[in-house]
Amino acid sequence: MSLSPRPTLETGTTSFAAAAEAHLEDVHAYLVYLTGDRCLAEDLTAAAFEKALSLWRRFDPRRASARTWLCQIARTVALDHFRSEERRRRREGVYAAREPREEPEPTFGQGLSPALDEALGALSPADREIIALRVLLELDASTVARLLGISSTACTTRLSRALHRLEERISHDVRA
Amino acid sequence: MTSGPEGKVEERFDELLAQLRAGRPAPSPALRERVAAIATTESSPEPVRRRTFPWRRTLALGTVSALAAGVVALAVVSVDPGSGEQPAGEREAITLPEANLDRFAPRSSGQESVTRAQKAPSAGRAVAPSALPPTQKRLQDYRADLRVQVRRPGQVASATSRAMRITRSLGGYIVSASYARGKQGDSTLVVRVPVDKVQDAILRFSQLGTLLSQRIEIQDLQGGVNRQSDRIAALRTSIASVEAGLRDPELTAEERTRLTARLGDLRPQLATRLGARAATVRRGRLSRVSLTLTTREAAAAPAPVPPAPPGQFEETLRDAVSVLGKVVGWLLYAVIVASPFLALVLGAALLERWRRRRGDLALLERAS
Repeated sequence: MSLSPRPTLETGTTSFAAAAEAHLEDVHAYLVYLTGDRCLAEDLTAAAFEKALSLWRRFDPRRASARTWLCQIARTVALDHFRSEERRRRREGVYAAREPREEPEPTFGQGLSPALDEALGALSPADREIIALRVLLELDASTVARLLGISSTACTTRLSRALHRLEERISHDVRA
Repeated sequence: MTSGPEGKVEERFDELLAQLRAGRPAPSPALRERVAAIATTESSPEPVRRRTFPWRRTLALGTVSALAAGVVALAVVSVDPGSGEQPAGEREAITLPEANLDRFAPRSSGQESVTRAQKAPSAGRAVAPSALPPTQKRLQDYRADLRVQVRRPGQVASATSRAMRITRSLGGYIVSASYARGKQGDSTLVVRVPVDKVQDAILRFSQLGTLLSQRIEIQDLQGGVNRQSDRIAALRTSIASVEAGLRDPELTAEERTRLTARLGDLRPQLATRLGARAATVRRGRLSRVSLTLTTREAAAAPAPVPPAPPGQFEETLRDAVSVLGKVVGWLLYAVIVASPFLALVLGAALLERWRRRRGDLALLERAS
């Protein structure tokens, strides 16, 4: 396996429908990892594509690929959601009484072992985000760094730490 | 295959990465339909291909060009206008045509003048003789200063004698002459020659040896003469009027006395005006030429020679450089004044950006 960027059908003139079809899986996987909630991720994916459609005229393929641009929009949508959720919870006073979700099937993918799925769920969204971008979407470090607003070195460090934590979680669960 | 930190991460977590990629979540068919509906039901206009102007490149090119132009302009302006065009020894005689002289010559004011000088060249190099021709239609005060080098001290006396003969042959006269013979011979001659012969005089004086420098000044006298003539005409009219009044037989003794006194005032005024005008006319008819004959080289020339007036191109360049300098000064001033505020704004923007990113990260950490 390699962390080198995956070749994509980027750039050039492409319609929004083609871009949406080509990158739906990427955006969805990213949001699943970011939110840790498949249902929420699906809602946010749809919201992200709606927002992307309204902004499609402003998309400039020379500045970023469609996939990176869509991931940026998905991140903004997710962060907006987290903020509104945080405000809602604070307002309703249920922040501490947050009920654990019970999901019958793995959250982060059908092929994952229960231990790995659980370990991923125990990670912070920030850790899952870097794993999603670098491992699942196979974006290169500089692209992810630009997307997250950090340096390439920080990006690599963050990925390494996230994978360490993930590994520790898995071994902890296995021992338990 | 990547190397460095990423390579180590890759090797260290190879199995884990493989598992994560294999178990990548896939969107449900419902989501696919939902997104397809979003993408197809609404019109999705093509991205606007904005024509990006390469402003960074243009700015860099413009800055370099402006700097180069400024350097060239400064170099041109800083060159001595009197000696920059060509070596002094190879300078050719410049003869201004009448039209050009009229362009520079004053129209009516006697205070204005035109000066033309060729600077003393470096030692041993000659200046080609060239004299501004006097205008025939107007009275002018024409003055020329010549400095001519002769080879040996013994030649100074003979050259001085020849200069005197030339002056007399042209109908002029010697105003003053001084001659000193020592280790270095020097002779100074001030002569007056008719204006219509001055060009000939300058040419012949310059042939007495090697012309080191020459300076010509022309001052217009016609305006002053015209004013004097007008005043004289007015005085004559007044005198005629007073004389006619005195011829009146019915004039009272008191009036006669008053008119007589008035006539006594006017006649001396007229005589003074006539004398002044005659003197001015004489000045205009005879030019004044100062000739210095010396064995010294040009470096020892006692008379300072003013630089030639700058040309139109040089003046334009000087003006442009001056304006550019002022603009740059003001820009620098504005930058210095505004820089603390700009730094504050920049710092605030960077702080806000950092705070937003930290906030996003903290939000993601809290959202777990």
